[in-house]
Order: sequence, then structure tokens, then C-alpha cells
Amino acid sequence: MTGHDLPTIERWRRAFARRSAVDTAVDPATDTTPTPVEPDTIWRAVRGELPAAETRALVDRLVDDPELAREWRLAHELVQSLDTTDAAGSDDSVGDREGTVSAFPVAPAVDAPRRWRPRAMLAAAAMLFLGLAAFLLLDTPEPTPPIWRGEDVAIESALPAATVLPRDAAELRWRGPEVDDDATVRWSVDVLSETLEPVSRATDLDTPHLLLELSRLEPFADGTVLLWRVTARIDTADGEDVVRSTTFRTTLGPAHSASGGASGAID
Amino acid sequence: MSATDLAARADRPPSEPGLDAGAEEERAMARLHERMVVAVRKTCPPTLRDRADDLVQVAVLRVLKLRRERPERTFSDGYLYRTAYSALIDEIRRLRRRGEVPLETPTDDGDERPLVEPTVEDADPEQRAGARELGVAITDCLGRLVPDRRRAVVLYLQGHGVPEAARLLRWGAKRVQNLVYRGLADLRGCLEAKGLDGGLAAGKGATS
Repeated sequence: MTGHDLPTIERWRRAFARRSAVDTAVDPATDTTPTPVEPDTIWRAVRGELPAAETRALVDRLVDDPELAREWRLAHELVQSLDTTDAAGSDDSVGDREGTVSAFPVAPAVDAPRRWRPRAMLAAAAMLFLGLAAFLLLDTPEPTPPIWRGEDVAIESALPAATVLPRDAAELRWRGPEVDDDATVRWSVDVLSETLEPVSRATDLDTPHLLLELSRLEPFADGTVLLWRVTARIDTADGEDVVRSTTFRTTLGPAHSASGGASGAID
Repeated sequence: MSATDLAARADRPPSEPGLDAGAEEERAMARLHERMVVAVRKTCPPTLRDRADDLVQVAVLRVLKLRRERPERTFSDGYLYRTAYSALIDEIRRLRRRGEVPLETPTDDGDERPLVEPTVEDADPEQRAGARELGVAITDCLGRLVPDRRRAVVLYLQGHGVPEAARLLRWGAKRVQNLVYRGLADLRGCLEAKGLDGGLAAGKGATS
């Protein structure tokens, strides 16, 4: 397949943009007007501040709701001009973003052109390095910042907060990321003690939970904080995607029989 | 403060020595006003574009009110833009509810101009009709795409680049690039099956 020619794509963009509610209403007599989305929600979605699931749900609505699509584009224009302000030294910027649409599409094997400035790339590299260092050298009880920024909502712990994990039923559970029905997900989990001693490592899991073996927990006293991180490998018709969670913290407690029963503690 | 005043103040050079906080605020508001007018004119149909100054004025006044009600607080630009955007959307929706602007974008006649960028082909009413037909077809074809490809393509058609779409969807850039590429191929195939050759309405005579 050859690349898509930009004039055609620009024509599609214009046609998509100039749709009206009348164009998309299946039957004006029975069609119900979509419930308007709060402008604040649109703004946060365009800024990348909404949870991924909410953003995707909103994107799904853009197809059949031209007014929402127009409001989205208006937000996008303003966010881009705000980013120009941010680049000039203002605060409240959220993440890295491209100012304009790239000259896509090219063949999938070729990276889209980067428009980052060298200093921004250096800063990003430094942040990544510091994030990895934080994971490897973590020795304080403070919560670890997300190692891969922006992916913390893709995989979430499914353990209830503020409780202790019984060592004889030490099951780590998580949710996400969302995938299509035809995609397959395999997870791997790394578990370390707070002093970075390896506790357990599991790969190629096909269900989103991991029961830690009691024998592996014996060297660790009650109250030990376990650090665990999940990596999801998603196979789809469009290729493999890798999504990593933030680092979760779970306190190890006495055996279920000794503690009277408790489960799950993470932050 | 009128729209004309705001526009004039946006042209002043930044960081003039001795500029007081009030003047700085005026400049910030003027800059916000200017950018919002540009955004409205770029993304909205003619009926709204023609009222861009009035619409934006309402939004900027809400921001000014917010700042003056809480003078002790420092608001980030992000917060102010978000507030202004919300006010702008509220005002646009209010006009629509009152029937002051039509829901339907003019197509076959009138003062229709393209919503994104002006091109020669848009001067032809027949071309505009073709574009409308294409828009309807694109909507239908998007509905037939695999969900993830559809999401990636929709964001791409909305003007987001691949890295930005990846960030919004929380997917890897490589995957989004594949999704867009294959989704656009699916879209092209669907349009061709509808007799719209490569996105051009058959018989409309437009070429690229």
C-alpha cells in the first residue's frame, strides 16, 4: 500500500469538519439530540487530562455529533495557542504536544517527524533517566512518581486501598488497559521489596492477577512494603503495543488466619 | 473594555518598563481575546464567525469577572483559557438554542466558506455539494471501522498529529501510526466502494 496523499486527506478533513447535525441525523423525526458534553470535559480531553477511557468515549461521539466535533476543534485551536504561551514561559502546561498536525501518513515503519527542540529532548531524556533511577534506588516510604508519565491510568491496581495483603493469599490484581475484542493481552509483573530485593517475577500471564507464593514471601517481615509494576503486551492486527503501569505499593501482612482476614493495600 | 480596545492593547510590546499589574492584565486579556477570535473564525461556520468578536467578548468578560472577584489569587493561563473556552461554548450553545444561528451549515448557496482553510474548489457550489456528500460518506465509513482505528483516524481528521493522538488515547505512538495508516486505507476503500474515488465525489470534477 502506498502512502496517503495529503491533498486527499485535507479534503477529507474539510468534509469532516463541515458536517452539520442535519447531515448526521438518521431520522430527524425520531433522532434524539445528543446530550451536550460539559465544555470543561472537552477541554480536559483535548489537554490530555481526562482518564483514557473517558477520552476514548468522547472520541467515539465525535463521529456522530458534528457540533461536539466542532467544539473539540475549537478547544484544540485554543490549546495550541495556549501551548505557544506555555513555551514562552507560562505555567500549567500539560505534557509535550505538537503544535500542528504532522505531515503524516508515511509507511508505518517510518517514525513521524519529530518537532521537538534539542533542549526539550534532553529534558525528556533526563526525566526518563530520573524516573528509572527512582525505581531502582527507591528507599523512602513516599509514593513513587509514575515512571512512564501519562500511562498511569491505562493500568490500575484492582486492590482495595488502605488495607494489608495477607501473605497466605497475597494476590496482586489489576485492571486494564482497554483493548479491542480482537486483541490479546499478556501481562508481566515485577515485585520488589522496598529495599529492592527481588520478591517475584512473572511473565506471560493471560489473566490480570498474580498470586505470590508463600515461600517467596517468607524472607520478608510483616509490614514490608512491596513494590510492583505491571507491563501489558497487546497484540492486535495493527501490531504490538506495550503499556506499563506506574509502580504500586502494597503492604505485606500476616497470614490470613493470623490476621483475621484482610486484603489489598496500595496507593 | 470593547473588542476594539482589546485588539489595540494586544499589539503593545510585551514587558514595557513600568507596566503595572493592571496594564499587564489588559494585555493578557487582549491576547486571549485575539487568540479566541482566531480560533472561532478558523473552526466555526460563517454564522458564528461573523459574530466572533461578540462571542469572545462574553468569554473574556467572564474571565475578567473571575479575576476581579478573587484578586488575591493568581490564575494560570491554562485555567483562564479553560474558563474562557467554557464561557464561549456556553454562549454558542445559547445562540443555537434561541435559533439565532442555524444548526445546518450552508452548502449549496450563500456565503459559505470552508471551515478549515479556504481553497479554490470551495468557490464552486457543485464542489460544496460534493464536499457535503463526502462528509456524510465519511461519517458512515468511520462507523464501520474497527473501534481503535476509528478513534485514531477521527483524531487525525480533527487535526491532531500522531504523537498528540497517542498521548490523548494513552497508546504508543507506533501503534497509533499504524492505526491511522490502516484506518485511512480502510476509509479510502469504503469511500471508493460508495463511488467516491479516493475521497472525491464521482463526477464532481475535483482533482488534487
